[in-house]
Order: sequence, then structure tokens, then C-alpha cells
Amino acid sequence: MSHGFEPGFGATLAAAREAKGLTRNEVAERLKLSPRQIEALEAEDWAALPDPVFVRGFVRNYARLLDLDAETLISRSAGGVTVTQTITAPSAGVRLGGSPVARWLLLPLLLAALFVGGVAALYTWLRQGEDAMLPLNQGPQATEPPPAPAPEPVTEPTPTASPPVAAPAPTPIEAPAAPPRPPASPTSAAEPAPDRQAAMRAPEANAAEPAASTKVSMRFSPTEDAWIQVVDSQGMRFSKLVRAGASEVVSGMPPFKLVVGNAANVNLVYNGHNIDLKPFIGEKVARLTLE
Amino acid sequence: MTGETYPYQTPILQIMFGFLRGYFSTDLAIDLGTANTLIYVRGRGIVLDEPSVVAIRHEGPTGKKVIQAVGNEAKQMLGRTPGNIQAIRPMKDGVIADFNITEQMLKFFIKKVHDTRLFHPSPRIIICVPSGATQVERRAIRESAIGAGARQVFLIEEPMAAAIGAGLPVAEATGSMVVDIGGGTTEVGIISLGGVVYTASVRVGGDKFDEAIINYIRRNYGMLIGESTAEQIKKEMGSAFPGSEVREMEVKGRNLAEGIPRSFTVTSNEILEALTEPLNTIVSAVKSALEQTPPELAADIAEKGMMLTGGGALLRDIDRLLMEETGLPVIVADDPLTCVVRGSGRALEEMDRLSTVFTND
Repeated sequence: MSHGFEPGFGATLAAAREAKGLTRNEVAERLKLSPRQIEALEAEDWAALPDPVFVRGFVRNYARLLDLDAETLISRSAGGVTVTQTITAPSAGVRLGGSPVARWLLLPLLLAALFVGGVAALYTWLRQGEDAMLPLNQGPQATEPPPAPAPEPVTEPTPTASPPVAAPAPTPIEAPAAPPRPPASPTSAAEPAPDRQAAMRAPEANAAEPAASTKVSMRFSPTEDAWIQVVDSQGMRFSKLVRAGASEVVSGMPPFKLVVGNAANVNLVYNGHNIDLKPFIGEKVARLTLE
Repeated sequence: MTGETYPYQTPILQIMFGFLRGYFSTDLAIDLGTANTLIYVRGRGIVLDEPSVVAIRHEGPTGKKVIQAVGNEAKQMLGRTPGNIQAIRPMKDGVIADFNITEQMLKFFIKKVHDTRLFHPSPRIIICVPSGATQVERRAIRESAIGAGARQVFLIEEPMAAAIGAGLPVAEATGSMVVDIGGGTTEVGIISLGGVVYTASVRVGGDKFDEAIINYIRRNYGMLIGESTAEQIKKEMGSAFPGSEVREMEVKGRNLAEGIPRSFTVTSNEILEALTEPLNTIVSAVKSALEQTPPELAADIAEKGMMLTGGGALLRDIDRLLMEETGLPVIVADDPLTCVVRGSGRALEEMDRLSTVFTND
């Protein structure tokens, strides 16, 4: 272990000391070290010496006493930290007091930006939640493939009938996702699930037929003023306040997303069928999707 | 910003507020000295070493104060300024003498070591205080660093910083003694297990040496010399212990009786005589520190000696003087001028491990 010293520094020191005719005790006296430490230095006996940082100082003092150049005994790389990069300061014209405006403005601006961003994020998030709730009205059938064009009419349904039981065809149309109100079907007690599905599919089947190709129209005739908004699948948007007594006809490509204000007082005829808005009314506004 | 990496990104997340500005700032360790200010940047080393001098220009009829120069440039103006410029040394005796100027100087230096212009730098700063600084003086240093844009300020006592910078085994269970002779103060510290066992601070340092030389020459020669000249004399032939050779130097100053510039010659022995008084103060501070040292640590110190750091350690034969006066080995640190800032820098790099070295007030 060299500890950052040139090899053989101890021998060099000892030789120089003898050349000067000094004994170890004399050197120890001058350097305020013990003769034992001088001996250890000359023998490079690290176990008997303190940390290298001290030894470097001892060697330096010793070398100076003997008029040696200490730097020849200590590796240059060991110690010495140099200033890596000095930045000079050519500095004219800095106003005392700096730019206080910029300082106190930065933080409020930053906070304001964060606040606005936060509000915007919250708003979009809430809107997304709303949209996610809407399709609830559609129920599972929205994703189902369109049923066979002509479902077999089952005239006498029995509890053991095959699953795609269609209800007697043109019952007055409930909205597609009507709450569990099974249509007139004798099988409801025994097999409610397939039955209801079938019942729901029936009106859809009717509605879906024209939807495939042509435009569908609907008519709003409110008995009181009502705000109505319709968005169709093409992105066409209708939104208007429809006055009491007036009626408005909207046509477009299904499916439609409807927002009907004051819905309790609005009659909606969709594709020739009366639509009961009541199941969709929350507060006063009905939100629903029509296939 | 260039593709520099910021090694403190993770802990910074905890400091919510300064996050953005902190991202564009680099942590610093500052040795805010009476004579020189040194700045160490985390991961880069010492990047700034300038005299703590600010030149202020008074502008026009409104009397607006504008910083004319800071650092080296300002130091050259010391004692040579016209009426509308003032060259100020805002630090005195190791503490702040002029709060506003210190703040501006710090702000200037902090800006200098940051590359970014977009944001005001808002670094975490470790800054040194003399161990003898009062609470008010410490608070002043802390406040001025915050005023200069620091996000967080940690104070470290100078003897501790000097000991770390000199490479003493501060964290070990062994006594280490450090004597840091700075521009304004001399700090004596005895350190063991990462803490200060004893510390003393006397307000004697390089400035007092200069002052002593000025006073000596005025008394004995009837000549007035400036601070810069006195500093030059000290560096050239100041010594603390009678040496074998006697040097001479020609000095120019103003004759007090005649009021005319004259030149004259002083010898190193005279300067030694001039320096006796401030040197004695240092010696007695060291002696009283040794008297207060617990015996176990005193034994360690007797074995290893004391470490001299700071610009004062460069005074010729000052180690010899302390050796003769105390009978202990005295060694001068490598590169004594930068010990304090290097020590603070190491504390900065190893903030977690060396957390005990910071002071709380």
C-alpha cells in the first residue's frame, strides 16, 4: 500500500537525515513527534502510523526540516483538489434589488396554471363518467348482432320453448332498456331471463331494420318549453329550445343520443312509435340512446 | 437544458413546492468567507472562487444603486474608487456586515453557477457559519441565502467543514483537531464521532494580520499604506516564526507627516513583530481549546497533531509557531484555502450519511 506516497520515501528521509547528521530523537524533538513515529515513518510501517492524511503532513514537515522537496515524496495525484472551472464575474449593470416583480409573479402564475389545469382535468373526468353511464340505457342488446330478420312468431309459447322466443310482434314499443316490465307473456314465471331478452329484442328488430340504411326521423312535441339535444351517429347535432305547443322534427342516422329537458312534458314519436321518456328522467332531464 | 442528469430527483419529489424550480437548479455548498467566497456544485466540484467584494455604483440624480462589479473585478477597485462607486466587503469577522449587499452577492454567484436562464435558480444550499456566530448572525446568513433564491438552507459550522475537507476521520471514535485560520475568524475545533466536542472562534484572521501590518507601519514609519498593499506584504514575506533568512521588500505609501507618496523598505522581522499580537490571540485560542479537551481525545491529538486549514495556514511558519507553543505536531492540510468548501461539498454529496454535521439554529 502506497497511500499516495512515492515508494521508498521512508528510506529517502532516513538517508537525508543521516546526511544532515541528525538522530531520530532530534528529529522527533523538532517535529513534536515521538521517536517511535519517526522510526515508523522511515520504515513505512503503516500500522504504527495514524491515517494517511496525517502521515502526509508529517512527511511534509519532515522533508522541510531536511530541506527536501516534499512533493517528490508524495504522489501528486493523491491530494490536491483543483478548482475545476472558475467562473469570473463580469457584471456591470445589475440593478440592486434584482427583479422583484418576476420573483413574486412566478409562483402565483405557476399556481394559477396548475389550478386551471386541475379544473379542466376534473371536468373532463366527470364528463367521461357521465358518458359512461349513458349506455346503461342500451343494455346488453346494443352489442348483440341484429336478430334474424324474421323471427318465428310463436303463437303458443310454453315454458319449454326454445330460447329465442319472440313476443307477439307489435306490442307498443317500450324504450329499448325499459325497466323489468316483462311484456305480456305467460312464461315469465318459469323462464324470465330469455323471455325478457326476447321481448326486448322485438321492438329493436323493428327499429333496427330501417336504421341500417336510411335516415330516421323523430318528432318532439312538448306541452311546455323544453330544451332538446340530439346527436346522431354521424355527429350531426341538434340542440334547441322547443316551445310549448310547437313540434320539431329531427332526422338523422341512428343511434341517437338524446338529452331532453323538462322531459315529463315532452311527447316523443320516434320512427312512428311513441316513446315513453319517464323511465329515463332523472331530476327533470331524460338522457337516453335510441337505436 | 442539456442532457444533464440530476442526481437528486427522487428526494426532491418530497419537497413539493420547489419541485419545478428545483429541477432546474443544482445543489450548492458555499463557503461564504470574509475574504473569498467559494462555491461547490454537487457533482461538479468547486466552480467559483472569488473575493467577497461588491462594487456599487450610485446612479444619477435618483441615487439608484447598481451593482458595478462582483468578485475579482470588484476587488481590484477596493480603495481605488471614485465618488460614485463604492467597493464593499459585505462580510466582516466571518459574519454579515451588510445584509443587502451580501444577499445580492450571493444571488449573483448563485446565478453564475447555473446555466439556465429560464427559471430563477432555487437550489438547496449548504452554507458555512463560524462556530462563534451568534444566533442572530446565523439567522442573517440563512435569510440572505434564502433571499438569494435558496429553496432550503443547511448551516454547517466551519471547523466541521474544514475537518471534513482536510480529510480528518471525523466520523470515527477518535479525536481530531482542526485550526481554520480564515479571513475574518480563526476557528478551533475538536471533533469526534461526527460531532463537535469543543469549538472556539476568535475574530482574528487574515484581515487582522493586514490591519496589524498597516498599524505597525504607520506607527514605526509614519507611513500610510492601503489594505491591498498590506495583504501583498503579508503574502510576500509575512511569517509567524523567526526564520534563518531575513527578507526585504520595497513598499510604497503616503507619508503622514509630509503628505507625499514615498517608498521605503521593510524587513520580514518587522512584519513578524507586527503580526505578533494577532498570532498570540490565535495561539491562546488553540491552547485554551487543548485545556478544555477531554483526556482521551487529548491523547489522540497528541498522537496525530492538529490540522491547519484556511488561508492563514499559508502564512510562513505558522505551523512551526504552533508546534513550538503547544509541543504537538502540527500539519498543514492539502490546499488549505479550499478545505472548508470541499468539506461542505462532501457534506452535500453525502447528506444522508453526514446529516449530523449540520447545525440546527
